[in-house]
Amino acid sequence: MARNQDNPETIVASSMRIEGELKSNGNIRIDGVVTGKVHTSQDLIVGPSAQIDADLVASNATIAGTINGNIMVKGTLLITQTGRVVGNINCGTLGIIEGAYFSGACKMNEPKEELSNPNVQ
Amino acid sequence: MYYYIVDPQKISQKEFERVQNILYSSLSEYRISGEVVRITGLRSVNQLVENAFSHGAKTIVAVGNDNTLTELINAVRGREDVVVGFIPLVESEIGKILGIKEDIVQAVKTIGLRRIEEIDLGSVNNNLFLTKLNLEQIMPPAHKWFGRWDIRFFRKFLNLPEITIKFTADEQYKGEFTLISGMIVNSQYHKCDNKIADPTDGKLDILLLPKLSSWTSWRFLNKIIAGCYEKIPAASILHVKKLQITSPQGLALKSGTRILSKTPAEIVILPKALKIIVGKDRLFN
Repeated sequence: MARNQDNPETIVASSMRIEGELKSNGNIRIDGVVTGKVHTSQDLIVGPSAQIDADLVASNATIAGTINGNIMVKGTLLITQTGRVVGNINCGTLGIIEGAYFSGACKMNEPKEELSNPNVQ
Repeated sequence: MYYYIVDPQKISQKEFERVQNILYSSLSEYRISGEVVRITGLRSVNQLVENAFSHGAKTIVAVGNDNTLTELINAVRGREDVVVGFIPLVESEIGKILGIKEDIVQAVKTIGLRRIEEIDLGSVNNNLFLTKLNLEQIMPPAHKWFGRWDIRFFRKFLNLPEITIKFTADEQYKGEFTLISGMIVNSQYHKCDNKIADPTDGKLDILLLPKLSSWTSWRFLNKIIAGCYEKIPAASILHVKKLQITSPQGLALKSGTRILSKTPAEIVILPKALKIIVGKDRLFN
């Protein structure tokens, strides 16, 4: 995932608890406990020790922790082998590593059809 | 019109006379002479600033240390038509941030070039600060012996007690964190990330450090002492415009050596609140 150089990263360490709406214009990394909503226009990384009871909105996301909530990702959503997601997913591209847990509905964007070459007859 | 407020603290009378001679000749050389006044027991910075305004001064320059500049910034609060300058007489963190050399002649040259930037200020209980607030948990002084950190500092650091703080950020979320050290940063000299501690971004950077294992503490000791918490794996980093620390009671918030407030406290960013003359080697923009 591209690292955003324009906005600084927000890091919620493993010993932090947050309740409410966490918004950022930069990348967010969560290793702690979050309840409410998480919103970023950049990348979201949920670490293995994270416990999130919140809806997530991000450009791209990697989930290695526990999510109880809906996830809306414009680009790529990856659930790793330690990831647990209970909730609905809406994403562009989805990846689920063997060992991950996902329970919910999944909706993905329609893949773009390849443009036919106008010069080929 | 230039108005120079000189703070003779921390330097001897003999040294002060030498400084004054260099200052006068430099001001004349770079054609930025003006009224030069000295802080005394009877004349505080606030009184001298009022005097400056009555004389129609538009550029007020603090000549002294970081505390001198901080007092000047607080005294000119709200005056959008005033430009502030700084000539450090001793080692200065703010001077390094602003790109102003700790050499009177070079600093006067910077003032003469009048490269002006609008920068953010932090405010806690009506006290303005330019650099950062430390959540004071008194960090033991760090010394080096023969190039290596004093082991006594390391032991004291490992034994720092944990404090649980509760806060509300931007009136949007509440947080709770158990830490041994923390900083609320508008700007700072020792930084490892170009996007942390930018005094023009309109945000305060909250750096919180939890209790670390002995190995992690030793491994990142240089970063801890330098205040580069953003490079320590277990640290939390938040970016807010307003922070209300609701608990614990009575935790000191220090800027440099001065206690500005105690918790519970509200800390806000004042975007572009200060017009200040900077050097080309400044740490931002």
